Amino acid sequence: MSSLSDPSLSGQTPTAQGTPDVGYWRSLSQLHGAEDPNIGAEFVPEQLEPMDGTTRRRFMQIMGASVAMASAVGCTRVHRYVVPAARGIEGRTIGQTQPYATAMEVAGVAIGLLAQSYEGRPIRLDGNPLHPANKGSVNSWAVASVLGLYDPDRSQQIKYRANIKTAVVEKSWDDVKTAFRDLRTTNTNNQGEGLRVLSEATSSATLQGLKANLKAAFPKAQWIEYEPVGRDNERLGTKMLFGQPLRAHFDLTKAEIIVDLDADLLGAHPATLQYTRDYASNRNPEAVLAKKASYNRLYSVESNLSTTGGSADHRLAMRSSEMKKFVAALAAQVGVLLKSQAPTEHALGNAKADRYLTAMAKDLVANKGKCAIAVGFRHAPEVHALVHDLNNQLGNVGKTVLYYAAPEGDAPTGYQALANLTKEMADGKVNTLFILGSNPVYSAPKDLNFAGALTKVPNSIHVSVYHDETADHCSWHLPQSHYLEAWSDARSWNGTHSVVQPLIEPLYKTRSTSEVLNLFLTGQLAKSYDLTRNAFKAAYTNSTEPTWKKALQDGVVPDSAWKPVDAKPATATADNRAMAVLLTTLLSDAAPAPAASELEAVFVPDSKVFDGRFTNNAWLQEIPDFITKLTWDNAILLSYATADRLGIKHQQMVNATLNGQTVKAAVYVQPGQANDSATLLLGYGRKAAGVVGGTAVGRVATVGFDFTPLRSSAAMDIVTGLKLTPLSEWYTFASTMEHSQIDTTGQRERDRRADVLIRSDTLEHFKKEPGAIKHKVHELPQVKLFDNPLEFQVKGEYKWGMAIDLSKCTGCNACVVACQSENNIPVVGKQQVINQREMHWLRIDRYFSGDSESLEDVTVVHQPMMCVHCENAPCEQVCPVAATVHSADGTNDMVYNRCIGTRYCANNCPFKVRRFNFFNYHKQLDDEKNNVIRLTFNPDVTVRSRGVMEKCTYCIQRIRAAKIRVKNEAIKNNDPENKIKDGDIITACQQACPASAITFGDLNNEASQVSKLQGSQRGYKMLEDLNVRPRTAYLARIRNPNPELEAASSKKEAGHGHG
Amino acid sequence: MTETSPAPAAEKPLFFFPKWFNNAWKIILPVALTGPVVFLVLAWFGFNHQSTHVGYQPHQPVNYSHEIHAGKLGIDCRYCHTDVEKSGQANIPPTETCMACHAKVAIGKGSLELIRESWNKNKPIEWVKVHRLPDFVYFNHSAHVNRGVGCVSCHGRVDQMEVVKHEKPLSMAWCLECHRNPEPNLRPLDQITSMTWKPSDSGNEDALSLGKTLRNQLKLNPSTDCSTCHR
Repeated sequence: MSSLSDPSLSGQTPTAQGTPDVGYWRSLSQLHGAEDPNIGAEFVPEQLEPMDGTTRRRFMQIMGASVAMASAVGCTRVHRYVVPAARGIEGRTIGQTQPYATAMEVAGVAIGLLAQSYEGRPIRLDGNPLHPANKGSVNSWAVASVLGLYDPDRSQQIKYRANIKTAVVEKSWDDVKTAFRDLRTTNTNNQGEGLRVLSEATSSATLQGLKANLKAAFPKAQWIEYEPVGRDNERLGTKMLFGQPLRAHFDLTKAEIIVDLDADLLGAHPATLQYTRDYASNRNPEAVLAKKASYNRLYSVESNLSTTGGSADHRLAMRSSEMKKFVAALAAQVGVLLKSQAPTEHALGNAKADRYLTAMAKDLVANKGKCAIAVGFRHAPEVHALVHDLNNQLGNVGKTVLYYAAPEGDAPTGYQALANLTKEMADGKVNTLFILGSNPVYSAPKDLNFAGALTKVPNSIHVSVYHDETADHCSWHLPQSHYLEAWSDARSWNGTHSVVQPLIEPLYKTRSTSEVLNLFLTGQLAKSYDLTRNAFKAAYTNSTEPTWKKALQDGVVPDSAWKPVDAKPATATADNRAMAVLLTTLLSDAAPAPAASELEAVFVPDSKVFDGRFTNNAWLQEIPDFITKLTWDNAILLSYATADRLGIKHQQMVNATLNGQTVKAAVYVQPGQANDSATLLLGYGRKAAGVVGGTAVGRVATVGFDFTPLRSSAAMDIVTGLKLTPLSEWYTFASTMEHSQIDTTGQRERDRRADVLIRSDTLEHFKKEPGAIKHKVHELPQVKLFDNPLEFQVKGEYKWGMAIDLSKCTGCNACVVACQSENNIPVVGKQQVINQREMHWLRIDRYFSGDSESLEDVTVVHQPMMCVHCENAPCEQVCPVAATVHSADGTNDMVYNRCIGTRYCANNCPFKVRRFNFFNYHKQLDDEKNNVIRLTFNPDVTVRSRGVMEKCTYCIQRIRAAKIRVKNEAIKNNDPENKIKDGDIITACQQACPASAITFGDLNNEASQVSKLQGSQRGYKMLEDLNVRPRTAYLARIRNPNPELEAASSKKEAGHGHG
Repeated sequence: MTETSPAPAAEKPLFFFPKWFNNAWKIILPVALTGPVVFLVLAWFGFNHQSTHVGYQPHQPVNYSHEIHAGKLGIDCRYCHTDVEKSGQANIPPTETCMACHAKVAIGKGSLELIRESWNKNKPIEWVKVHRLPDFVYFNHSAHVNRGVGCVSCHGRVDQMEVVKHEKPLSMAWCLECHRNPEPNLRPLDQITSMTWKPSDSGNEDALSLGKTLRNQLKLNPSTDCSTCHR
């Protein structure tokens, strides 16, 4: 029950017992009414921490030295050099970036990219607009991979040791060639009986070709593909139902009702970028008002609050181990409804879940052929079979749900294959093992004892970009080229084929996996280009030079997407009768749901570092997770009620015991988490990741907790029986959850106004009363007390502005990293994040709403927040040195050279978007080892030093570049009136956004997209009553709840409820 | 409480100047008088744009003479600095550009040894940078040469330089002078690279009125916003 309806609480300020009277809060401590010491304080106390390791005396010494140095430098001019290439490079214009299409493969699925090359070095990765799957958008992993290229911790040297006891020696590629020759002879003699290749999932035709060559040369050899986070259950489930292994793909543009059962379509699914775009494309309330489009409805059932769950119109927090029962009940309910019978009551025996299930089932049946149901890969094959049978029954197949022949074919699952391989290794049957890119010593379940089995393999060859945990246990470690250094190819989720085009020669003496395999097979050090080119010639009969060039230029091979398979339930294996049997077995508790008190553990890949492959990427480590806002850490996520029951507090250390293994880790109490379900985030606790991700040897502590020991080969993803024993130890998370709170007059006032900062409405109410969103705040008469000489007057040719659509934003963080990459934003590290000194110009504020009685049922709103470029900017009025001033176009410019670091501006900014360089975060780059990181810098943006304030500039470098470009063209074409067209300037965040939630443009131009959006009924500006006149407007979040489920709750509707 | 106000210590003066001070004013007074003047002179020099790198004329690895190439031979600037109209940076040409002529002209000349070596070994030449702006300044060549600001305006008479010299201050004040009042420095677009052009060559005795015409014609409105050059 909402506390709002309690008359004793409504209209009151929050108390220790009550909840804020209007919906939104950011953290549990805020919900429970704890006074935030940061609110109202002039400076955040943590920010006043002394400068680490620098005493006052040392500071004076350094200062004295730099003054002396500066004066010495001032006397003579140091020569600088310009070094043009001896031979000109055709088509290259010095001083301009050039885009090259390429692709990045993660776990066997490609993301089409456009790499921006500046004078021969890639500096930024954008989405490829011509790629049909992501159409120019990009995710955080792809953006951050450019930092991975310039990671000084990358493996640079071939290492060899005869066995685990002997010392490591450095070798050359010639040594490898010799060693491979001997290995080839050994293995040829027994037809490759003891030859195994363990590869990460790959869709590359180059590698498939080499795999075929390997099979031909060594008929008894085996090639195993293994991913720590597998997707095999879908393959097995579709085989159960359709008789053939298939890959499901959803067309969400046509789906009115989307049901996401732990699938995280908008977050962790390999086709997330496409799904997010398609989902967002059907969420245009203006189009609904104009009766031009419909509005989709998203249901989500899951244990941990995922990106999809955060965006869902209805979310049911449910233990993952109950999914079988839920899906069976849903199938039964849909079956009943399809026969036009009255729905079964108490299908699940839980009032809330039953109500949810029935409403959802009715919605599905009412939208036959226009709905889609997806279930997470971590669920059992029979759940997949049932879900796809449901899709089939509802007539979605061929419309919203498409099937492709599974590219993995009918191979055993990755987990099973790895278990088989480990057994062979332990039995001494494997003589030669290639490990391509994978890191099984870290990621394999510990009951397999992969590392132990590896010692029994006389020749183990590890090829990887990093000298990781597995490298330590192999006889050979060969440094692998980064994907931006070598040729390859990859396919996206729907099969669209892309060439992985390198942007730079290998920085170190590295080779691609294809080159290494080819060296083993042929003894020749071939070039990866030839291998990929030949693979294309083999794959496409018409792969002539022009078509190859075209594929390179566009980044996609035209019409290479797979053709959907006409999937019908196979009569023999799974006709309706067989499905009915399956259904009854599931329903009749053949798989009983665990007892309520039994805690389940769900292993979920981390949103930042995935399964651990991005652990050494500092950009990714420092993104606040979309829901926990955790940086530099993972945790055990527990619901508030469960933590309470177990006597565990937020940030408390616990011993987590499962299958006889114990891991010590910290607990994070997370609203939205299902009760009695613990989410264990994978990808952390690496012991040989590098300076960022942690190393066991050396000075760098491991980052986060390694939960892989708790996984077992029998239960990799969902397992019950987790025991948590609280310890009397505490941990500190670096969570940005409560940072940069937008307070106007203290916390109480902020609680009251949160509802005004983030506005939302239901579709029904919005249709009835579209003006209510703007009406949340009374238009205050703007009385002038005096003529402010600083008051901004619009006089420029353009009036830049932005619109951010909260109905579309899923909080995926792509924009945060894109901004970091574009604007040379430094990484500050865990301690500085704890001190609230993170530097991200763009942060995503995540607000919960819901009452403290049922914290698992919260709703989430994400609000990307960056400088809103107030016309009447409070920061400008307090700067004593005019370091922040307005341009004629109305952008609020930051002049770094004037800034003396008083931080008055940040203090006076009501939006808390200004970031101060407490340290020279780039100082570490002076170290020769780290110098290579400088290559990531965008040359168009100043690299800031210590003591300087910075903030979002609306990508001023892009605005200026466009102005110059357009004017140049105008004068050349003798048309000086020509202006920048709408869409000519795209900010970095806008470019990355898969949901197209961000729009930028000229507000002087009434026809521009941004003008239209700002002027729409949903458009509102934050803190309008302060008369700061922001240039960024937000578009209210419009939810589309099912009236049947939403009957009682009217509190989220807009309007401020007077009169 | 009884009134016991302490008697003022009349014997002791409030301030006691030590004896050495009797002579100290002889030093203090001149310093006090000349100090501000010295300070002002130093500050004036320090902030004066004339005290920038004007006159910097480093020795280049190759004795390339702009005087011969641009002056006597009359080769257009853009023959070598090809990107100047397209890009923010006016490129230093690759060795290939030199070899375009010197594969046939002055083949064996000793001063061209480095050029030939660079070409044969594919080894770049390290030219010393003459005109260098600080890293936080984003000057754009294309934005100037396409707007009627000639090369000579910022680089001086390069056609008369045997070795290139830093001739103009290139300080912020100097830039702003023109951004605030561009008219005296505008010229017809077809005369951008000319080193000798005078307003009278375009049939106009008065640079200002020509500048005004050009400014109107090209709709020039140079910006003095900070973010124009600093990002």
